[in-house]
Amino acid sequence: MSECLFCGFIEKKANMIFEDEKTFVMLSPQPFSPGHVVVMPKKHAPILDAVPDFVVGDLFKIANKVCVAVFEVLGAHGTNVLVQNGVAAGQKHNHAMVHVVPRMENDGLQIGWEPKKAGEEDLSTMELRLKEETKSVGIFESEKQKPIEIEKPKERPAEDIRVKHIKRIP
Amino acid sequence: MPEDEEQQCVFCHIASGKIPAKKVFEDDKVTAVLDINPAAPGHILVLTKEHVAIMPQMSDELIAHVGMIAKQLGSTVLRGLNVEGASIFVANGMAAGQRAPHFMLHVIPRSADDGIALQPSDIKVDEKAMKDIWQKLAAGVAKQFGKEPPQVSKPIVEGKSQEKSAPKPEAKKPEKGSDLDSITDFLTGGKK
Repeated sequence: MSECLFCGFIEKKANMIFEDEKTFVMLSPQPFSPGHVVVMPKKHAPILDAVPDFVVGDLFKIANKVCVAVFEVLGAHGTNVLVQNGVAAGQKHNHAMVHVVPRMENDGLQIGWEPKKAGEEDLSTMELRLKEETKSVGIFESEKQKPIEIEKPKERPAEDIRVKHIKRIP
Repeated sequence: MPEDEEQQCVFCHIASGKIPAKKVFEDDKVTAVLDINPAAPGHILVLTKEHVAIMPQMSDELIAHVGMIAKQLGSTVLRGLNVEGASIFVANGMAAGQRAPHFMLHVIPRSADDGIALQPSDIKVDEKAMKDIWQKLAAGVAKQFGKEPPQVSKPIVEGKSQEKSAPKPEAKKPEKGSDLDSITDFLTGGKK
């Protein structure tokens, strides 16, 4: 745990914007733009893939609320919501997070890509290939019910002779 | 959202299946199709069936659903296409790179040095400015949840001390189109 920089931030509640039982929201200490916020699971997970589905749902729900706040209080013109899954996708830290990046007109941030031409045949091949792989998509893992804790009955003092009398089956 | 806007929205028609597309996944809330102008092979667009222009118009339930689908499609791409990474990306508003008046979430297969710019570098931030933003955002987010904002202290800033290599902003004029304009209005404070 202590190996992870962001687990450390969560522990210290560094730059905290919001938290609930499973998630932690902080102002990014390494911002892409002013007001860059990261939304993370409290439980350590190296990539989004390792975060349970129901927590991912929460992360996006909270990221969306952060977007609204970014528009309202920072007067941003736009937001980018970004997850970098893997080093090749730009992930820098060993803790899964959803980035909310406030954007302004002509802010000079280089975010985007050059659209490529794709041939009809390539697209069809890809469609078939991915369709095969998405069969399990949409089946979500839900939170396991916590075991209900029933308070153990306290040790009763030796029964009073009068009570004993009452409980006696006639 | 006016009804005729919905009827004219190409992405609504793609999501509903009226316009054919390379569909890789569908359920009652979303349709996932291949981008015909992909950033990389296997680039998926997740479209909501309900006409939503930007994320903040979505219900908690819908965005949570879209997020979970995005995670699973990301995993699908990682395993199924054997790529090194997967980016999940949303642009809300033209300033953020949104091109169409319908919400879409991108799932993009990634490989090292693929030239896709979804890893912006850190900017240098002033501690005082950061604290001010922190305070504002903590209050703004707390309001969204109907809670008290957390205490704000000295912000942790671990930005690299490198100067931000400010790329030349391209003064792109917004394309003509009333749909996009109305979204921009929405984003710039002409709140509904």
